[in-house]
Amino acid sequence: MHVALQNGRDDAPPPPPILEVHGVHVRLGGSHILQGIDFAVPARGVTALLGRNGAGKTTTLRAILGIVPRTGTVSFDGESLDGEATFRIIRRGIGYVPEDRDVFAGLTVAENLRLAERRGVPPRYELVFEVFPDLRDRGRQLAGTLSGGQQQMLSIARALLNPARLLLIDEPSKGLSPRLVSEMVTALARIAKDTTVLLVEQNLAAVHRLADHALAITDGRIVHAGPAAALLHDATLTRQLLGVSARAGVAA
Amino acid sequence: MSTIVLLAITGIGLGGLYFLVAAGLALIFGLMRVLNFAHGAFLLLGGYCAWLAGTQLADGAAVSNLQFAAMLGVALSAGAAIGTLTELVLIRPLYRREVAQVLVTVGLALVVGALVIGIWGADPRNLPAPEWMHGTTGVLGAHVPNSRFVLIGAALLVLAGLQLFLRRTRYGLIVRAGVENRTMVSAMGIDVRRAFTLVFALGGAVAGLGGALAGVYFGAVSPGLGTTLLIDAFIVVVIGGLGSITGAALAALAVGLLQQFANYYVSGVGDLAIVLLLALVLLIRPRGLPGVAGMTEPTPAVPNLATSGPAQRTIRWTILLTIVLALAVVPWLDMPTGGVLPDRLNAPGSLQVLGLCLVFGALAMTYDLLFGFTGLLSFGHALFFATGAYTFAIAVTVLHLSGLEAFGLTLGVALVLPLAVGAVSLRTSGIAFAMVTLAFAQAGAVIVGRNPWHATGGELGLGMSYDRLPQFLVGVVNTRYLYWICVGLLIVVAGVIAWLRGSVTGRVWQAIRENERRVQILGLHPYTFKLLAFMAASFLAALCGVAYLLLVGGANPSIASAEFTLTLLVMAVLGGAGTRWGALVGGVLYSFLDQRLAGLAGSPLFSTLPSPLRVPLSQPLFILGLIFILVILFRPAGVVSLFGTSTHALRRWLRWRGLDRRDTA
Repeated sequence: MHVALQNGRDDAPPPPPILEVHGVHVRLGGSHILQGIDFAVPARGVTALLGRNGAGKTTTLRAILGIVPRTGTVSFDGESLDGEATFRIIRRGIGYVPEDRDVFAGLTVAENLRLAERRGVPPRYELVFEVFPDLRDRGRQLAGTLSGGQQQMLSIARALLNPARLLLIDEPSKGLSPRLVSEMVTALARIAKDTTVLLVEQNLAAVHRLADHALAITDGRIVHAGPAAALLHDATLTRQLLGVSARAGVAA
Repeated sequence: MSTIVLLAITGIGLGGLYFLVAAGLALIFGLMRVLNFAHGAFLLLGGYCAWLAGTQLADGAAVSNLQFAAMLGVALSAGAAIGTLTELVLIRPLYRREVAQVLVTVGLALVVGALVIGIWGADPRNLPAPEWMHGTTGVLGAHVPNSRFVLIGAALLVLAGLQLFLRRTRYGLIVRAGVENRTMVSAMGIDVRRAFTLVFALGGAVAGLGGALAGVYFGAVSPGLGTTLLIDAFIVVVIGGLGSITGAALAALAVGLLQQFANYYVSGVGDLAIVLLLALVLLIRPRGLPGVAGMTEPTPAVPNLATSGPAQRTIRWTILLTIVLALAVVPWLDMPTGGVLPDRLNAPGSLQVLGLCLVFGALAMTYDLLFGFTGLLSFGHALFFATGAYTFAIAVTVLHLSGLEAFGLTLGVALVLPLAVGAVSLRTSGIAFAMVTLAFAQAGAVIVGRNPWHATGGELGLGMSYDRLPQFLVGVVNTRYLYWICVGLLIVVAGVIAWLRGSVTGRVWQAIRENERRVQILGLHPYTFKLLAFMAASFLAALCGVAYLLLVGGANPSIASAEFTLTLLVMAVLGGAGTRWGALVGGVLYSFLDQRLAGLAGSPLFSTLPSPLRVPLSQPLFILGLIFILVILFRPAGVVSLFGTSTHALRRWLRWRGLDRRDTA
């Protein structure tokens, strides 16, 4: 089952999707986690990947990047990523912000950022410090001593340092206080102005503010695809797919 | 005062040598989680290349400073080259199979060690050095050998160089990040594999340098150099916190000093002192060490005949009984063996070869009960085999007990010692457990070598006194009875292990291997079950030791060494770890080749071969190491998996005959 997404505009023909995923299966340690995932990420805007805990959202991102072994096909901007090493996939222009941040705790903030620099690509430090001014003065601090919110900023900043055509961001609001979530959403909205984003997020309020399109995943399969607003405003559908009340989520 | 100064400076010098060996190990382990057993081989090659260069450059024992620098350069390059090749050829294809990566380095260590003996012989070779290095310098009244200062200087230079590399270069940054989280480094668009190759090259270069300087320290290079220093370096790396360069430097210093002072005040206990230090460090902070989850690879799907239908069980018992009967009647079969065995089939020489094969097959099964079945990687299994052999030998020879009394005493010791060692070492897990068991085994080897109260015979081994043994066990003509004892041993060991594996306890062991935490969640105490497995395997290993002693007629210190445990690991993996018969097949195969390849090498067929072929082929360990590496690369499930296709055919035939009911059930 391949689900085409509406691009939201009816007049111009929609540009081809930036990322297409077909029939992806992932088996890890005896469990069949992704059972034939099909979806496409439109060329513009934020696409949210939603689903309950354990549905396979994080694994989907990791499968796209080749971090976990997968079958099926994935193509990025029309070119196949099958059998490609993770670092090559990233260098094609995909930024990755993992769940749990995964900053290098024993390295300083500046070193974490310097690690992301690539030969022949001018690093976008101005953009990074514009979005996260907090990081500018913390260059010499060890990343392990940063607060959760600051680590999340650093994790996103690393992905932002190089120009990317697509950002994969995994639960940026996880474990953050409501005020920090709100700051994070503002920053993400700024980033999404000029970068396409595939966002995994449990916080429906954040999804509501950021996402243009939404995908829902249940038991390793995509079960819904369409405009984000339509999904979030359909209380029956959200309860059925995500196990939460969208109204409560949006109100939170 | 001058004594203390001398001990301190030589201790620091020794620490410098340990650091040179340990630095590369720590670097490689930190980034790749590979405990590189081939590091001793890198060192060995560096030492011999320096010696070769030295003999090319100078005629006598003295070389100029420039020539000496050239020798060090050659050693460094040789180490870097073999390190790079190892990573590219052996480690990289096994990416994502971390245990196999460790095992393949074990194989490489065997191959290189055997090659060095094959090409340059087993005798030490004097390493030429500049004249001044043989002299001494007076420091506060002490005459300190100048070579110690060279070692200290080299260690400081390497330490500073590595720190500069790690702190100031981009690859250093990548290595430091990779030590924390390899996956995330590649997820930032960095080819982390290049860092792997670089780390192996660097580690190899430093080890090569260490090999050359070890030659200066000891005055000569010899084939045993690698293994001796490797074990010390392992201890240093573990004490230093596995993977930390600064930690390794401090630990090397502590170990070097401790060893020198301990050796001076109580002659010869230096080795024991560092082993005790290691045990202490591990027991105080076992959590400071990263455990290695899932030490064994997933068990290959082996047809589980235990759950098969009655008809198949009959067939299985028939096959087993036929094999046992065939083994039992061998002493009556007067047949030619066509050179496969040293003599006719039932001649004492042939029976001894076969008996040893059976003993090692049984011993490999006991090791696999720990490693393949319960998932405990122990480096100390040799200790219990040696315990069996030495306790019996001492009881008969020194204490003058009768055979039966000696056997009773051995059984007692074989129950108590594993209980004590297991109770302590199982407080740790993963690599830390491997290291504590290594420490205990090393302590055992040191005690055996030190010959306390003239009981163990030291390096020469202990010949057994036959005075109070039953007559049928004495003399070459009675080899057949000893052979039957080996057959009986194999039946007992295989029977007990089969029974244990099928029991409820056996199921828990298997569960512990798969996932220890889940066993805990079930309300079971993994510690108790692991201790049971440890005791069972060790007890059976001690029985094997007794059979070995009777067959060979004496105990020799090599069976107590850490290398011997590695041999058991090789046997188990060679045959197929965790499978029903894999370890047995591996043990029999290994010990057969080990005994017979040496004999074949002396045969006329071999002497006609050109020397580049003859030299490596005449070394059994070269061929075994090579087979081992090939098995890991291409047959990860072991030799027994070769039979997989034939059992499949058998099953199809059974189904066709309507005998296999499993598929219809």
